[in-house]
Amino acid sequence: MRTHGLRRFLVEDGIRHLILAPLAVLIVFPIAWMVLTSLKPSAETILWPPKMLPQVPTLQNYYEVFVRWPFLRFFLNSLLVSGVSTVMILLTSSSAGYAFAKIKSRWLNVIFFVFIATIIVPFESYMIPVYLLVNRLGWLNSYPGLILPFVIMAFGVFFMRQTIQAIPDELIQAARIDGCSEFAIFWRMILPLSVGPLSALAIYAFLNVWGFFTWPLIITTTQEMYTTEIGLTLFQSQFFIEYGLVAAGATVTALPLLLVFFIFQRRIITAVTLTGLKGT
Amino acid sequence: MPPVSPGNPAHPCWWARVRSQWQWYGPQWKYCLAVLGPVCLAYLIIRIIPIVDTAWMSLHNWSLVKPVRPFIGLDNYVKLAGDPLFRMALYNTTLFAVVTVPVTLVLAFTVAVLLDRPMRGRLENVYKFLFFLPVVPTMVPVSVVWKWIYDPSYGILNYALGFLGVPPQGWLIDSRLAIWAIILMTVWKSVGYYMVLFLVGLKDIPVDYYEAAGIDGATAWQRLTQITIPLMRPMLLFNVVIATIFACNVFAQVYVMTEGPQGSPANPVRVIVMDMYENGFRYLKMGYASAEAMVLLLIVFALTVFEFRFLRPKV
Amino acid sequence: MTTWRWIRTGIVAAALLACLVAPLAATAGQPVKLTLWSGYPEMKPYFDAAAKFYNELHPNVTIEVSTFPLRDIERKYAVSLPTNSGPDIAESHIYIAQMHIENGSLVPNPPEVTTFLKSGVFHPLFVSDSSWQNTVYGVPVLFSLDSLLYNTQMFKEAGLSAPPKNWDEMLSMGKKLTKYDAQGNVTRSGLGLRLFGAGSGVAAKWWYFLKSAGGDLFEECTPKSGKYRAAYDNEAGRDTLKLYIDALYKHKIHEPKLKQDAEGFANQQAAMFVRESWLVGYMKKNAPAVQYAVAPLPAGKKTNTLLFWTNVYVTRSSKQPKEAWDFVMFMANGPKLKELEQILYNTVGWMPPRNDVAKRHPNIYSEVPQYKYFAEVPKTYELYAYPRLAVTDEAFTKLAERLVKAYQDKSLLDNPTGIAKAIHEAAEETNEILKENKLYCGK
Repeated sequence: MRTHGLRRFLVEDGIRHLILAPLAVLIVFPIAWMVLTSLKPSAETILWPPKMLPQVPTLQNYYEVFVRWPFLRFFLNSLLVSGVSTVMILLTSSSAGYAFAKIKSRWLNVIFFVFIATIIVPFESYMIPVYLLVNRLGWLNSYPGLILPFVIMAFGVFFMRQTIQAIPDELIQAARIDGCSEFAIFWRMILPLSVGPLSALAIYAFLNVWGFFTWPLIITTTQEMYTTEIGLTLFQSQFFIEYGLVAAGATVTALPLLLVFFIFQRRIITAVTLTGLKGT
Repeated sequence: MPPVSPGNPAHPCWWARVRSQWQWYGPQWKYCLAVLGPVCLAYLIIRIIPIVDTAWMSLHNWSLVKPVRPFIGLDNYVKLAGDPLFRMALYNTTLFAVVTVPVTLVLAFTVAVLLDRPMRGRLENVYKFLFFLPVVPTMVPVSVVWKWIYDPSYGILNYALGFLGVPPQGWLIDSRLAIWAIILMTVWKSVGYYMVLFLVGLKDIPVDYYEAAGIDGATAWQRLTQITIPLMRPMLLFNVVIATIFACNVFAQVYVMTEGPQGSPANPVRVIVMDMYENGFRYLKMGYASAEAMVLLLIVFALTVFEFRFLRPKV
Repeated sequence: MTTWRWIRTGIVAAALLACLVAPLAATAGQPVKLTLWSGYPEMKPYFDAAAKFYNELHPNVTIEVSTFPLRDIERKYAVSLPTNSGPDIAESHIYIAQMHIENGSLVPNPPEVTTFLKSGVFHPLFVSDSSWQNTVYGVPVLFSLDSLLYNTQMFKEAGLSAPPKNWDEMLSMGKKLTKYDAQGNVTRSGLGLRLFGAGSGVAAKWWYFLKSAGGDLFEECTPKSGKYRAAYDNEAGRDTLKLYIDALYKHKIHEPKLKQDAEGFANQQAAMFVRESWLVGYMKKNAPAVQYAVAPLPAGKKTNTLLFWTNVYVTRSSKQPKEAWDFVMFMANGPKLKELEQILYNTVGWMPPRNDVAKRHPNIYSEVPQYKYFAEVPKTYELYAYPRLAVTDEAFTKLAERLVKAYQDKSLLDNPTGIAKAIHEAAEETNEILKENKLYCGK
């Protein structure tokens, strides 16, 4: 029995470990480097030959990050903007995605393709008209102004439509016949079935808004409204980069996303599937 | 319940057809309006109208700092065709997309497939976490860290390669290497992103199929090519489309890597959005930059349509 | 599933609450609040101190200082100044400001400010180059000349007693100062040169040598015509490019793979290079042990160097221009002038632009000898400023890309035709830019 278990391990897991382990090490290395750099005093960041571990580990960088600029405020701003945007994106993407996936209509297909077309255009290209609009609304340098471009995400609509399409039509037809309103079907049946994809989307939406630099840069005019991305550029002087500070700032800003990922990771990978009633 | 026809297509009056559609889809239309109404409005205000605005700007000599903005028709586009910097940007963006998309997706798919089934000690979760790690920090500080890794005199990459006998390279400053350095960094950062998407898709494939194949004596490779890949087509299509769009719109990492006295020279890594940014925000030639944006839109749209055709999920 | 529901409801509730609180949060503040933006993050201590001193005198006025890297602030200015959503006070150097001046986004100086500027406290070049159509804009806030920094320890080791005075000496001394390894690779540059990095930097640094050679980026075809052409498609331009090519490939006194610019000098990977006085602040903070001195820019056919400075401007976005000008004048000529100048000298590195600093800081050049040749040069030197045309940035940036390519082209060594061709094509491009902006005057 033991030998059998060992051989199974070698064949099933062993090969996978052989391929995955070196890849994982390579992938994680730069992140580890970044975190370790954040613990090094300034002089150590330019050591040659480079040393992996800090000789004199210090939290000085983290201290400076929060002291030189009101980084905590930036952090809270980012949290608020990203959090609200994510919730709105989840709502709009799933409800619209359901409509596009399960309600048959030529019109809806047309609208869907128009939505998809907007993913293609990078935000930088139409940023100016949006800026002018926000200026006219008087929302410059305010939370509504920061959040406005991010209440919808075409990527999200596309993604939810693809995943909701996989839910069998029969279930929905049955519910309709039973007299459920579309709202009820959506809220009571589709959403719970989509927890996995919704979790993945939550992570991506959060990441996307959190990391967006250009929009907050031009829309904010006073420091109290800056986000963490703007805060990080403040550490870069024109002539040189304080690597320790940037690394510390990056590590700090990565933490909430890691938390979000941790919370949702299990949901993503244990998405409920229905066996036996599969369609493509 | 007797089948109800959604309107006779042969009916001469279109409004009757619409009305009969309405009757069939009654309760669903309420949902559509309630949900899609606000969503479409939002899209209109913050996406569609600004994009149309941009198209309009592209037909003018539009600058934020000049009050006179004459209509010049397609002049901007003509100039673009003759602009060597734009041609360079086209070439670089194409190269970038053609390399990044397949490499990233193949890697992500491989990893996802390998991690789909559980391992001893739940190790697959550890791997998933590790592979997703590069996705988490934002692009700007990560690019700064990579700039450091690529540094010719102090970077860890040259140090590590030194052990293999490779002489120190100027990864970002050498015109031939710069774009490959950025490609490598982008692939590194994106693999985890698509891995998660593939994992979501893989979860939807019922275990029964695999079991049935196992009973029939199929090998792992056959299982992969006959079951997994065909059933993953919708997710594959999605990922290819998204990856293409993101690759064509690459900007942040190029912007950071080219900054400063140790930065990469701009032209070898000039991508379209970078060129757009330079024209629009540094030279303040918004009209010209808008024309570039329109051309980019057309190119990516064409690519997307092509991909949809090519990878359309077969029923 | 219920936990998920709770989390969801909680987030939605928080979001709605935030949207209600938001308009209130953004407007908290003192009666008068001024915003100041700067593209020079190293100036933060100076502006912060000025804001603090001013607030002590006027407790109802707070000034919020934001500094960004130059590239990012250009973007912010581009979007916010024309739409009147910019800061009250903007710091900028001349050719970036020019675009906004021409567009009317920056406010001309009130009469008393102009009188102050013309009162002899500033070098005449400050005033003449800050003027456009006979109106003066902005007040200088920092300055430096471009001069040569050199590592005195390395000079001693190489047996050199004095810094180079001209191009020939610069190249020969550079050769003596360069260190090579066994394979002939450069391990320490004799002369640091700016070879890459996106933006206009590469061209701006090349341009100082071009000016020493007798050329320029633009020249006015006939005085006061307002029409220009490229002024480097000539011997001066070719000589300057040849200087770089020879330095790189004939004498091999610089290595691109080493750390460049300020970092290279601080790490003792370069023996000499040309920069401005902010190096003093940088070296003090990052490499205090390095012994270095400063000398005037080595002369080519002409003996000259760049007078670099930035102005602070009051913008049309300001709703409190009177208070803004008051603060600007406070920085330039207020009761705390000595303390503020001290901060520049001690911490920042950029120097105060007034020419009467000796009154308040009589011993500064003996305390910090490196500042001397960043502030003064022998009478034989002519001073010039950046070209003031709004298209300067575009011209420099496109030229920079061509130069970067040329520097990596080994075939240009001992190849006068190749160099002439490269220069000619670059000048054509510059002329195209002028034509596009209706500033070109023909051959």
